[in-house]
Amino acid sequence: MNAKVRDVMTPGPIGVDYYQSIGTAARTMRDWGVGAVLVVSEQALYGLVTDRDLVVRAVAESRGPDEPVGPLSSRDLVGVDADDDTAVAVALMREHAVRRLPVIEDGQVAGIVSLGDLALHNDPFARTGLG
Amino acid sequence: MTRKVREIMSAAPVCMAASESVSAAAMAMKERGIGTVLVLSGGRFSGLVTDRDITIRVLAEDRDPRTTCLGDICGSELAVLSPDDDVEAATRIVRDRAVRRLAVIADGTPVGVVSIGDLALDQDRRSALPQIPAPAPNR
Repeated sequence: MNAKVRDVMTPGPIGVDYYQSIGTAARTMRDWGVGAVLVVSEQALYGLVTDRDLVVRAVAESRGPDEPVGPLSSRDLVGVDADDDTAVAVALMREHAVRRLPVIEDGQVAGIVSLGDLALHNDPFARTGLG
Repeated sequence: MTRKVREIMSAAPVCMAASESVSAAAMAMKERGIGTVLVLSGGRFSGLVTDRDITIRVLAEDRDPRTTCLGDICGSELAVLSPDDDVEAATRIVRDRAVRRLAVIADGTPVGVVSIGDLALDQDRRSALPQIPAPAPNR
């Protein structure tokens, strides 16, 4: 009955390069139907940026869509193992007051799990496809 | 047992005129720590705009947030709730229309917003999920 993080995560992490534009990050979120993308710098994980980050850290600050997305990232990410129970992810989110965790498998980022993924797994909307 | 929309909604919604810019809405979202603004046209509710709408309909489309107005991007979903509606009614509309947020209107005045999160939360008040604070901006 205990679901694993891998069962509810959004697999195949979607990333953008630190120097790609804010507009490119927005289009990546749109085209993949996701609310967050990983930010990669020199082939290493640098941080994570959400659709809301683009709004409150770029649009609200008069940054243009051609500026690099990297500086908008949240850093110091907290990861969770793909084989952990979803309860572990919930506990980590609560402890660190974050809503998304990179999911680690064999030392690589295998996906992202969000508070929405976890709620969806438990709630009556699970079958509506809303996320 | 039957709960009303007024018990679960986020009250005192931020309302902005359709003629205001997307930039102004983004600043309001940042300062107020919210993700949704209700859009008024001629003083009447005409739709809502979320932080994600700004990402998808403005940034991804290379539109200028300073010159794009809220009326240009606000959703056409006009289903609204009354504060006296049952929570079940809200759940049904959210499900049937595949929307994530609904405006709550009383006597023509916007009085709140109900999100899918509010509904899920009401459904499972024992869940640990509601206890996770929503940082702004969310990570």
